[in-house]
Amino acid sequence: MTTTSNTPAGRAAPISAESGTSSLTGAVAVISGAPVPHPTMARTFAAMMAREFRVLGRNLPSTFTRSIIQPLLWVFVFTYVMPKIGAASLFEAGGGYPGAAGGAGGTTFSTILLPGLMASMLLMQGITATTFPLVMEFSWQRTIEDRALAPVPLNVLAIQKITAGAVQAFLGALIVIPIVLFVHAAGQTPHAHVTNWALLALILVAASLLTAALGLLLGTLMDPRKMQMLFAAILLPATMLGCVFYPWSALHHIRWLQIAVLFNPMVYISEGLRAVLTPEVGHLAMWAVLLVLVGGAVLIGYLGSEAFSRRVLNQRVAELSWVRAGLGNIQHRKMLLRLVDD
Amino acid sequence: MVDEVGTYRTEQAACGGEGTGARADASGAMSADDAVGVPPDASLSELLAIAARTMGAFRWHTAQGTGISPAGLDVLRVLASRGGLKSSEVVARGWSTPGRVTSVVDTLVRDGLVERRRNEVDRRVVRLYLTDRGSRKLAEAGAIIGPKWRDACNYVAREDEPVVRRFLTDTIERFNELIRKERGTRPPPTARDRRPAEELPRSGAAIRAEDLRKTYTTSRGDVQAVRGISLEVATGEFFGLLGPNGAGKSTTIGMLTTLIVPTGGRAWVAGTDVMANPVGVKRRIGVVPQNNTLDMQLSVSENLEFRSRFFGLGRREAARRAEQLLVAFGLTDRRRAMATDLSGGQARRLMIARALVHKPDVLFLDEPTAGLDPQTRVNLWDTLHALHAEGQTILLTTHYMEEAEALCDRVAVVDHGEVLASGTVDDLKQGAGADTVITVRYEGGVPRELDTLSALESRPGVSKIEADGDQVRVFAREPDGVLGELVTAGARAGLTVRDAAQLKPSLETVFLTLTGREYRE
Repeated sequence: MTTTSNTPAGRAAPISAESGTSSLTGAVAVISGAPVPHPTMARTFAAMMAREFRVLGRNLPSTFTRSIIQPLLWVFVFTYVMPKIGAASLFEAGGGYPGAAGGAGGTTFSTILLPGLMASMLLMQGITATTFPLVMEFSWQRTIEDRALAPVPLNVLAIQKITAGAVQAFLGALIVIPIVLFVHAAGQTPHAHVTNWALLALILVAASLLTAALGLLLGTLMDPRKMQMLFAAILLPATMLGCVFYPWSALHHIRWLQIAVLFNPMVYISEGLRAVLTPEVGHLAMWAVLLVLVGGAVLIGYLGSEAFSRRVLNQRVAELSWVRAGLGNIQHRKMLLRLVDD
Repeated sequence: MVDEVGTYRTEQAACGGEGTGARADASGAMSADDAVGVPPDASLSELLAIAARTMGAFRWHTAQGTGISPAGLDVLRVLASRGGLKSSEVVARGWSTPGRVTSVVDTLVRDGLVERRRNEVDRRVVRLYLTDRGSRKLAEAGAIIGPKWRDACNYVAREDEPVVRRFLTDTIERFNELIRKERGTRPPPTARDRRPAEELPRSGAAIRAEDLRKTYTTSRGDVQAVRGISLEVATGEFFGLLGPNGAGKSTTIGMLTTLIVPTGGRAWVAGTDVMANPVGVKRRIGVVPQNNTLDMQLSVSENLEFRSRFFGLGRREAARRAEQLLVAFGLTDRRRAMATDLSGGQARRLMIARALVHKPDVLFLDEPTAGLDPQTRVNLWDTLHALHAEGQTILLTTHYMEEAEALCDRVAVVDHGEVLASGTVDDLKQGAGADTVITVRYEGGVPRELDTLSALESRPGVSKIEADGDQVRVFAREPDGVLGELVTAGARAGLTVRDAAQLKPSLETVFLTLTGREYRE
């Protein structure tokens, strides 16, 4: 016997002429010693969530660091550095924010930033927590097959992925709160007071689910080679034009933009949080916010789960045409077309 | 102390015992009643003794019937357990007492029961092939095909079946009960917990596919990946889908494992309709795909634990199951390693272990040894042999001829999405490729000496001659001298022989005969 790094499988006891039986000591355990499983949808779902939390826990330091840096820097620059160097007046020079209670000092920028950054984090976390793993799972090794073989329907698997992403988005949004509350220059305290906690919870949960559902849809349709586009084409525009740094009502100066941004789901998240956290700043009507967040979560969740199931089952189409034609991008385009056709 | 191995051996013994049950009267070694009557209050050790006794009687009787030494029978039984009464092979390397093995093997070889070949890959490995005579002897002796006690009853003579069945079920039931009692674990599973045997078709087929089709629609028109494959794999069988890359093997596995939706035909796995109830199928199958689909975010043991929990085991049960599998697959020293850090062979082993967490009725393996070094591959074969010997139903795809030949009870040769032929490896060779294939390639075309070729054609034992471009291919049952004649014919015509090959009857020649194409791996 040579000493190779790959020790022979199951060779705890080699085949022996004495015993006259086959090897693999443990093969016994493998078959006859196996417990009888009782898979139920709930158990499988719970086990999958447990797996997510195990991974999340393991990556906690890096995940935490990654998610805290962006809001921290935004807040530091805009509510500490800028006021200190006198640049804060730039914001007020424009006439301040309309709808702001015109009390002494007007609305601080941190008041605007609190709901805005929470919304930004929701989107960022919801999408990255869902899209990135999914794109990896769908790419060359197709580890998605592993999960797809679990004894649940594929759309349950999709819902599980949305749930896992939503949990991360939710936690991400909570991280923002202490940062905004404590990091600012003197006089820049945010004015937040919550009157309706239930509504806040509803908005947070619906927004988390919406962003995670968007993440699932993107992760399913995204060409892995176009991953950089996620930031340039989706996350950055959605954030910059998502009423993170200004309230929607302030956009009345640029009427076309005010209407255009209504197509950005991010706006409803920012404005929804603004309405419950900092109600003194003008905000979108609550019915519109709830309609888009709840309706969107359901609609995008449905589309995402459908697309996901199809991608799991149809992937070979793409692979085949991809190999045959050698045209990588066709894969992506065709997938979209197929979704539309069906 | 009775551990799992103990259980296993006992089952083996019990299995051997059925032969005794069948023949005890004839042998006179013990009465049939002795063999089948399990005292209701027998202790575990008593049961073990009974099993050992029946086992001994079995050996004695069979030895008497065949004239093979009992020691030789031990080896034959190993051989039989590894491949049934077909062209079995066994890797003798791992045997612990070389002296004994040598003498036993020598006896068997001298008796013409076994043929010995050295492995081309590893010179330390000796492979033994059960010859026709060996098969006949075994069959005559009424030996048991394998220690697959679950199926053992099928192989016993009709009239004895009820007796043997009773013996086996009684013994095994009692063993399980006693072991459970000794360990103080859970109560025996209720009828509801048992694997859904009643759902299986009457035929007992673990897999049945009827005219399964898959057509992919692409921008370049439709691609028929699978054009109507029908299969039937019996419970406990080791079945191989053999074909070159792109033959439609993986697509077929994909359809049987619910990951690809067929465009035509139907299929049942473990008695469950693949399309109507994919979740039901997923509960009953274990799949080892071609790619490494391990969860890279998790450690080795976590991969097993979470998979167990996906299949409904509790947290503690899952940990226990993971530990069992780590031991069985020799991965205990890697349990904390991340799945990313495993070598190719370790990863493959972990994937197989992971596919077995929930005791699947059918294990699917898609090209399990692709990309592994020869040593690792042979080791993996051992593992698969052992699983099969335990009664695991396995469907494997491979593009390695020797792999199919080494492992499978039955093989379906697949190419371009169709089954070209299926049967035992021996059947296939008899049916389609009994000929040795001699191929000679000449520099500058086939010699014009048609008379030579026609002389060859009329030669006894030559069944077919194909001239194509610069090469001539002769299919011959008696190949002696053919190669020489082809070379001389070339020399007479002033042509240099560029390449000459003689293929003994194998799956490769089967493929060649069936398709007229070289087997492209």
